[in-house]
Formats: sequence, C-alpha cells, structure tokens
Amino acid sequence: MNDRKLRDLFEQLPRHRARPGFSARVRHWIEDRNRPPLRGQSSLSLRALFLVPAAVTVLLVTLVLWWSVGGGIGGVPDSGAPLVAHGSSGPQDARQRLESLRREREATQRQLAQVRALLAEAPPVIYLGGTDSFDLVLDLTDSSPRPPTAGSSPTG
Amino acid sequence: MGQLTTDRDIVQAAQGGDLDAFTRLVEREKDPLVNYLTYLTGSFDRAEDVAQETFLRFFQMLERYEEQGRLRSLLFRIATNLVRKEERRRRRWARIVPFLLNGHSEDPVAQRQVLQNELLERLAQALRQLPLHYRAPLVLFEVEGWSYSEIASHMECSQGTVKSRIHRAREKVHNRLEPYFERKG
Repeated sequence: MNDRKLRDLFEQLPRHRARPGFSARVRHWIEDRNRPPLRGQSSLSLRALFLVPAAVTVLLVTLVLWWSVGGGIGGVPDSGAPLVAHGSSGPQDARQRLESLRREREATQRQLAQVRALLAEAPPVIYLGGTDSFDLVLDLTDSSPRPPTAGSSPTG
Repeated sequence: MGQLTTDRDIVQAAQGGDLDAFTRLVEREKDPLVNYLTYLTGSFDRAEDVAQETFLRFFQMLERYEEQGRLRSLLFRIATNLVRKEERRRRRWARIVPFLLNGHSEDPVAQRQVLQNELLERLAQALRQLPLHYRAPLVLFEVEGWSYSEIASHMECSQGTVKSRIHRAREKVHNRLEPYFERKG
C-alpha cells in the first residue's frame, strides 16, 4: 500500500462534530464561578498538601494534651500523681483545669471539622511531589472499576 | 453584539467581557477541534471533554492573549498538551496499578459504532497506537488538512522535523495495516 492509498483512506475517515449544546455547556461552565476545580490542578494539590499535615498536627497536639492530663491508656497520669490533686491545688482548681481542657478539646474538634469540610470539598487527589516540569498526582476519582466491556475476560 | 468579522474583533470583544463573542468563537472552532481530538484520543467522548477543557483554559488566559492570527493553532496546542498530560498520567498509573485501568483505555465499542468500515477502523486503531509526537502531526496533516508550515508553527519546530515525523508516522501506520491488506488479498 503506497502513500496515495493511505491518503485516500484518511480522506474517507468520517468527520466528527461536537454534539448540540456544546457551546452552551462551555458558556455555562465559564459563567458558573463556583464550578468545582478540575482534577489534578495544582491549587487543589497544594491545598491537600497543606491541609493533610495540618489535620495530622492538630490531631497529634490534641492527643499529647489529652495524654499529659492523664487521659492516656487506662487513664493513668504520666506523673503518677492523682488526677484531681496537682501540687497543692484543691478540687476546685482541678475542676477548672478540667473545664479548660474540655473547652480546648471542643475548639480543636471544631477546627478538625473545618479541615474535614475543606478536604471533603476537594476531589480525592493527593499531591505526591514533582518539579517545574511535572506533577506527580495520585488521582483517585476514576479508581472505581468499570463493568467489563463485551469481549473482555473477567480478569481483564 | 455588533459585526465581529475577524479573530481580532472577536478576541477583543471577549476580552472586554462579551461572552457572546466568546461563544461565537467556540461555535466556530468546536467542530475542527473535536474532530482532531477524536482521532488523537481515539474516543469521541474524551474528545468533547478535552475540547471543553481547551476552551476553558483559553478563556482563563484570554486577558493575556494577543491575537496574531494564530488562534486556531493556539487552541489545538492547548488541546494537544492536555492530551499529552493525560497520557503521561495514564502511563504513570499503568506502572503503578494496571488493574485500575481496565476499561479506561480507548473505547473500541464506541469506535465500532462510528466506523462501520472495518478498514477505517483499522486505520483509527493504528493511529491510536502511534506515539503522540507522531500522531498529532499526522492527524493535523491528513485529517485536518493543515500545511507543513502551519504544523511546524503549532509544534514550534522546523518544517523538516514535521515532514520527518509525518513520514515516520505514515510508515508505522502502513506497517500496521499491511498484514490486514495481505490477508484480504
């Protein structure tokens, strides 16, 4: 088969046209300022990059605080002192400390909820690293298996 | 919207916030872009997705764009880069978790629906198997009817490189189709 035949073959290829409504969809996307960001965009990746460690840090701080007041395994205080009697302070002082810690815990939980809400808004994308020329992004959006197409074996 | 006859008029109007002008540009360029992308990606659905993404990317860079008579070339370049990025991502995924890509590759069923002629289907299949740096210039030349100089400008390389790549691409397609022709006698 020479180039001429190949060229003839190319000329027979059907021309595809965009489906009706294509331009309207593009326009709608442009007008819709709240359109979810596209998969793999660096802004999302960076957001995930900062938010995940922030969430982990907040969690660790919470755990350390909890542990330091004797909330660790079995509720045993690490100093070996009774929970309600730090130093010379009485029960009233201990209650105040406990109340203060509860407030702090609630505030931390609120912050965690905010971080989770921010993460929930973003598509499941994890930025693994990269350089100026490429980004290595773990995109979990399309990871769900699709039904096998006709002719394909169950194992693919 | 007044009389917008040239690319410059349309771009200027769009830069001034005239969405009708931008939509007019989309109307004019969508079909060639979708056709090009269909043969580049091997999937009509993917082609439409990438074409929409292309127009969005162009809209985002509209403020900085200076019309110099290369609007279509720019759109096709954005589209080609999007396909290149997608194929890179797919290759990385293929190395890590190949089983996740089951059914995610080209859709031969859709192609079969479009291409009744078996030989044309073979040709489209051969195109899909070409590396992108051969596939893009060949489709632009043979399907879209671009000249060597237009493709060279689009790819930002010399005409010699374009000719060489198209020649190599033809050879590869030819080699893939040859057994089929031999069998058909």
